[in-house]
This record gives sequence, structure tokens and C-alpha cells, in this order.
Amino acid sequence: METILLPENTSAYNRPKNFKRHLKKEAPFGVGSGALVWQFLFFYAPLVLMLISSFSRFHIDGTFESFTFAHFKQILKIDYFLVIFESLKLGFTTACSTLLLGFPLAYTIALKGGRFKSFLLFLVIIPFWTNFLLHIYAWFFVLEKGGFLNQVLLWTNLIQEPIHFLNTSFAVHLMMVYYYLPFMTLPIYSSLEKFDPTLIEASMDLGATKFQTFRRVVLPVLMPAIRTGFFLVFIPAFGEFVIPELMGGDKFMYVGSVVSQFIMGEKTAPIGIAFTVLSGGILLAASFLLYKGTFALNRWLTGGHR
Amino acid sequence: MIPLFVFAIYLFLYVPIIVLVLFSFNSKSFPSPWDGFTLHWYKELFQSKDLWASFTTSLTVSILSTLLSLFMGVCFIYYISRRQKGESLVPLFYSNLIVPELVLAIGLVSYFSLFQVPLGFQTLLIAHTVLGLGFAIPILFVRYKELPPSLMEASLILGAGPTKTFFKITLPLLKPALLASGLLIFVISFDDFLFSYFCAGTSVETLSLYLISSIRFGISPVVNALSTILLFLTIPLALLFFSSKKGTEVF
Amino acid sequence: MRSITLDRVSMTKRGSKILNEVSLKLPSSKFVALLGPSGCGKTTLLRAIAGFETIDSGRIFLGENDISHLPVHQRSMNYVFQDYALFPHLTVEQNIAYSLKIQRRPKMEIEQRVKKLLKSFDIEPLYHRYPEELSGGQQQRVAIARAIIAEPHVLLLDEPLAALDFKLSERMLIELIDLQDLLQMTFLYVTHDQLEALTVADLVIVMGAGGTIEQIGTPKEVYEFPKNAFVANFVGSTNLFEGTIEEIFDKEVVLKSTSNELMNISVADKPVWLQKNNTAVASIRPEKIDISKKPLANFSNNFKGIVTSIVYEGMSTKYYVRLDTGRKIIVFEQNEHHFIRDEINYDDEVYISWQKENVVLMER
Repeated sequence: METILLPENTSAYNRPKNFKRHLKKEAPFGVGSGALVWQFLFFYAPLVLMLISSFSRFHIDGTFESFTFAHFKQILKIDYFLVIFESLKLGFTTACSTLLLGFPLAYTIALKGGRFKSFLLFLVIIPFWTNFLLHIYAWFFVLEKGGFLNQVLLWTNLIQEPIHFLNTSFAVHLMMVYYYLPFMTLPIYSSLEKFDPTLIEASMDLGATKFQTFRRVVLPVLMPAIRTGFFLVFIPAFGEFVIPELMGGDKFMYVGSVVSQFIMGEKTAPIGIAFTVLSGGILLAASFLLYKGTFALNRWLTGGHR
Repeated sequence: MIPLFVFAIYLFLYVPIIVLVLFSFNSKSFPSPWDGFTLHWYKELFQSKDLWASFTTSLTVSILSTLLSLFMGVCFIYYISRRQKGESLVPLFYSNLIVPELVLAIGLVSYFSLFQVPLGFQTLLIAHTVLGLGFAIPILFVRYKELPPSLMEASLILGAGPTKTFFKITLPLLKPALLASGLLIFVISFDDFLFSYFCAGTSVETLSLYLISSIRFGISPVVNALSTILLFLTIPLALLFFSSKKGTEVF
Repeated sequence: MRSITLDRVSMTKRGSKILNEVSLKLPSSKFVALLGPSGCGKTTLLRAIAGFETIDSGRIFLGENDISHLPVHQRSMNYVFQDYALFPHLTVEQNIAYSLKIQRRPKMEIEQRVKKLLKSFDIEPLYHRYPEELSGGQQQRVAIARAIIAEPHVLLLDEPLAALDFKLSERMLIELIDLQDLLQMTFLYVTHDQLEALTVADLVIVMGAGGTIEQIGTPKEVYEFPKNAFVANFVGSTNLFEGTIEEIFDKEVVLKSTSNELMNISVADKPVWLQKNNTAVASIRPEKIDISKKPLANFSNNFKGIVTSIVYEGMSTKYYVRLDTGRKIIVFEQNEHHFIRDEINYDDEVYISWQKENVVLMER
């Protein structure tokens, strides 16, 4: 398998074959560029264009006319900001609720699960894997005026009249938590699994109580996972409008519902885009603040470090 | 005290589902209480043409977008394995998770209308593939980086060129990650609602859209039956995902 | 076709020079050890020869051919990795057969050759097992078998015994020597363990920190006649005396050390740095020093001192002695008798002596 390679400055190196060789060399790029092209064409381009178009006015025939703030002016009203605020609130409360429920859940499975650990985790994952509309339907079934829960309550004579569970903010939040729980639980569980128990031992050895250890050692180490879970919930929950609409009726307007209303109409489409951009921007800002906030929280927990 | 709390959570998670499944066998339509066991809702279900159409559509879109995402993902990993500089491009694919689906859906709708592309099966497929890439590439890349470089080096020094090494060594070792991400993408695509709502146009109906209109019409045991079947179809998929690779590592 | 030649090979990574104008010519069919402390660049050099790392300047030759720019898979050599790098998804048999399959040898031939190799390595029953089911020693044998089955001209080994326990690595060392002898392949063996290097090698290359070659020679040459203080200290242990050259005679030199000892040293030739009043370093190995409670006759170098520490090592005893001049030295004595007349203890006054032929004078 000996091959003799010519020194680089001989003329043989510069023959036209160079092109073929060059082509062969760059082939991997050709192959791998599929994903890149796709991403740019269908992810970045649409988003950038969306951003630009929210500031533009178009002719009837679709050609560009001018830059304008007109679209934004239409939505810079207090009502719309309230809607964005409602969505932020929804995202935040959902994230917090899932944290309050998901943390003990992850904790129990990871630390007390024993042989059943995989099975318990599996049970948490299944809802995630089934169509969420099914779950909405299931809860519908349970919470409706003539639904299962009311039937049971009536039957046991705990109440005289059926309770309207649906179309309440209670129902909305219930469903949100139900849907987003796995997103929060899994990262925390994953981090707990990898948690080094000797850290706890060391802390106790140094004289800390269980609570102190929890606050100063366990929580900070789990912070990245909590952060991941938090944003895995917060960001999608912000854009959620299907669940609120189905469970809460038209009582509550969220960013998603407003946007879909605008987009559906031809004249109002650009406004819808502008609103999307505005909401996206505010979401970004809010996320950034929250992100920084988690570090501040970490510092408070550990008493001034990190 | 906490275990009780956790038990309550599990109850919370599963009571609706159990109730749903049980009542799909109820002989009388809701709101009547339990009457007798019957399968006739299932019969009605299987005779519904609309249902089968939407089911097939969803299935096709999901399978195609999964395969497409995985294929492009593998090609991209191949590119990275040949050119180290490629690695710096990977973060470009992380943004799929940062941007809310809603924003992306809107973006795509306006994008398609700008270029006057009619909404339909193809646009839905495109949307789902974008989503899929956002999962495929991060998962495959992480697994790829975990492979000891000495394995690839060993293959090279034993005489296999870089492409042969990729096919004989790298790719087989990526199989668990391929399976895991493939299942994940399939399920997310199959359950997806937002993209179907915005990017599929009026001609294409996916299962999610069918379900939503069913829900809007009110409770019908046929939907219960459908839900039960879908539930039982999903369980083996989840099992597969779970057993092939510690699913939590995905996070 | 089995010799490796390096011509001024240099590599810089992240600002520091890992390989510094390394030039060597390795003879073919010999067992060569590349010895050096951790971080000196020996593994990097091995990897550069294999092609896993690209060099910044210089050339690498396999036989007559310049392979400096040849891709890894076209270099006809093989490599045994420190972590064995066995393919986890392939069986032992598939692992070993790998290179032959790439070469598209006929199936029958591959089967035969693999079986034969498994037999001679004594791992036949492991045929269908997977790497994760094997012990460290077994994995290592598979790794070596996989590397030699295609009969490469050169085998590069990167600290292959590092992960094994003492007894096992001792045995493997002997097996490697026999293997190389049988195959007559050029072995280039990287290690930081000087005992390993001295045991296996026909030729030892000592590498110092900063990617430079300090000395090349047979194990005996490198041990008995180190070229500088680094080699003297790294290969085995020694006592070093820095000082100035006081007198130069025909076959002898007198060195005055920094602690004012006057030492007589035999010299065979007079290198250019051997001038009166120049600084030099003398090295005398602990085992070449005699220690006794009574003065010894017929030694060319004699000193007195106090024993400060004794370390009993079973086969031998190490004495730490502080000479009257204040200098501390180590003396090594084999425990040749069960019952020693006049046993040496702590705080004893002792006479230290060594012959002028056993001292090595090195350039500073």
C-alpha cells in the first residue's frame, strides 16, 4: 500500500485533475448542506422576513412599497398590551405551578423510586406522548356540566346543582399544568439522577442541617435543570391559545388567539404579523429578565456566590 | 407526606384517561351513567371515512417528515465528521426550541403567502421537517460528540477511509440516538396542532384538526373510542423510546 | 520499508511548542521505546506519525516515502490505543477481521487468519463475545491482534499497558517482546515508565519536556551513559553533582562540586565543552556507591557521612546519607545476606566510596 507522494511544488500537482480532487474534497459539504439550506430557507428566512414585513407596507400585488410603523401603531394600544401581559402571566404561572408539582415528583421518583423508578418515570412520560387534544377531551369529559366529576358529586349528594368547572380560569390552569408537567419534571429528574450524593454527605459532615443542605447545595446544583424546565414550559405556554380557548371559552384572550384572528383576515394579516413580532420581542425581553433572575436567585440561595 | 402528594399527582394525571377509556365501552351515550359494555362506538369509528382520511394524512406527514429530518440530520453529522469547522454551525439549530411554535407557524404562513405557495400537504411537510430538524440535529450531535474519537481513529488507521469509517463505525453507534430522535419527532409531528392549523390550508385535514372539530361538537363516545385506540397505539412507541436510550438524556 | 524517519518535525498547539524540530531515524524491525515524562509530546509524536495530528513543519518518511501529507488510512502502519478503542458494536472476531475486510480479502482467508491469531493469543473462546464482556487483559490482546493481523510494516503502541495491574502488565511485556521478535515488525512503543522501556526496547528514545529528543541509545547506553542531567534523572535515579572542572588529565578529570567535594572521574574522550574552569555535572548511580562502617580501600572517590534515613525494600535497601560536606546522596545496596555483619543503622557514621569509572560526566 505504498504510495509515493510528490513534493508540493512540482508541476504535477497543478494539473486540471485538481478540480476533480477539489470537488471530492468539498463533497461532504455538499451532502451536509441540505440541513443548512433547509434551516435557512424555512426557519431563519421566514422569521427575518416576518420581522421586516411587520415594518413594511405592501402594494395590493404584493410588491414592497415603503417602511412604516403603521402596523405597530394599530396594536400599540393598552388592550393589546394587556393581552400580552395575560399570556406572560399564563406562562409564568404555569411554569411556577409545574415547578411546584414537578419538583417533588421528580425528587420522589429519583430518590425514592427504587425498582419502580423506570416505571414511574414511564407513567409520567405517557401523557406527553399522546395527543394533547385527547387529554383536553378527557378533561372535558370529566369537568363538563354533565360530565363525570359532576355526575359523581351529584350522585354522592355533595352538591345539589352541577358546578361549572369549564370556562373558568381554574380549568385553563388545570389543563396547562396537566400538559406541561412532563416538560418540567424530566429535566429535573435527569439532573437528580446524575446528582452526586457525596455532596450531600460532605455538607452534612460540615454541620449543615437538612434544610440548609437543601438550600445551599442541592438547589444550586439543580438550578440549570430547573432553569431548563422553567423555560421549556414558559416559552411554549406563552404562545398557548388552544387550551385556554377550549377550556376557558372566549372569556380570555391570549396572544395566540389574537394573532390567529388577525392572520385569518386578509387586511388584518400584517397587523397580525406585527403583533407576533411585538409579542415575540416582549417574550424575549421577559425571558432574558427571568433568566438573569434565576442567577440572582441562585446567589441568594448560596449566600452570595455564582 | 410527600409521597401522598406525589400519588395525588399521578391520580391527577391518569383519572381522566382511565375514565375516558372506560366510557368508550359504555353502551349508552353520555351523559347517561354506565349502562353496559359495548363495542359499537368502535364500529362506528372504523366506518368513519373522515377519520381514516385524517389519520392517514397525519401518519404520512409524520413519517415523511421524520425520515426527512433524520436523513438531513445524518448528512449534516457526516459533514461535521469530515470538517471540524462544521461544529460551529450546530448552534444554528438550537433556536428551534427557543422560538415558540406559534411564531414559527405565523412566520411560515406569511412566508408561503409571500411567495404565493399554496398551503397544503407540502407546506405542512416543510413545517414539520423544520420542527424535526430542531430535534434531530441537537440529539444526534450530542451523541456524536460522546463517541470516543479513538474509535474513529482506530478505523482510519486500520485502513478504512473517512466515508467508510462513517458508515461502518459512526453510523451504527448513532443508531440509538437515531431511534430516539426519530420516535420523538414522529410523535411530536403526529400530535402537532399549531402547524396543521396554520400551514395546512383548507384542503388538508390532520388528525389533530379532526379531533378539535369533534371536541367542539361536544362529547361523543366515538371520540372516546378514538382516544382509547390512539392511547394504546402510543404506548408501545413510548416503550420503544424508553428502552432504546434513557429517554431523559434527551433533555 | 519498515523504518521511520523524521526530519525536523515541529508542532505548535495553542501557543506552546509541542514538538520542536524532532529528527530521528528509526531502524526497521526493531523494538523502539519512546520514553519521556507526561506532557513531553511523546504521544503527540506517535499520533503525528500515524497521521492523527497534522504537523506544522518537517517531514515524515516511511521507508523511502514521504508520508507527511498522506491521510491516515493510506499510511501502512497500525496503532494500539491506550484505551484499546475496540468497536463496541462488533464482536471480537469482527474487530480483529476489520482491516482485512476493508482490504476485501476473501472470506475464507479472513476466517483462517483470524482463527489462527486468536489461537496464538490464547483467546479462542472469546470469538463471539463483545468488547464490554472482556477483561482488561483480554481487551488488550484483541486490540493488538486487530492491529497486527494485516501485517503492517510498523506498529505504534500508545502506553498499552497503562491500564493493567502490575503482574498482568509484567506478563504482557514479555509477550510483546516475543511478538515483535517473531513478526520482525518495527514497534514504536510510547511509555512514561522507564522500567518498561528498558525492559522491552532494542533502542530507547528519551524525550524531554518541550518536545525535544534528549538522547537515543540502547537501554544500556541510556542508563549507564546519560548525556545530560535530565536523562540521568529520568531513567533510573541518580546522584547529581554540579561543579567546575578543576583539572584535566589524560584519562581523568577532577571536578570540584558546589558543595566542595573533589571527585575523580574517568573520561574516554574530550568533548569540546570539557575545558578547565567550565561547569559540568557528574552523575553517580546509587547502586554504584559502596557504603560501609569501615573505610574501604582501593576506591578512587572516598567520603564520609551520616545515615539520615533507611528505606527497606526487601530485595534491597536504600540509604539516605548526608555527607560531611552537607550534600545529601542516596546509596543502594542489595541485601545479599540474611545476616549482615556490621549492620548499618540510623545516625551511623559511614564511609562512602565509588570508582572513577562509574561516574558519568555530562555537559551542563
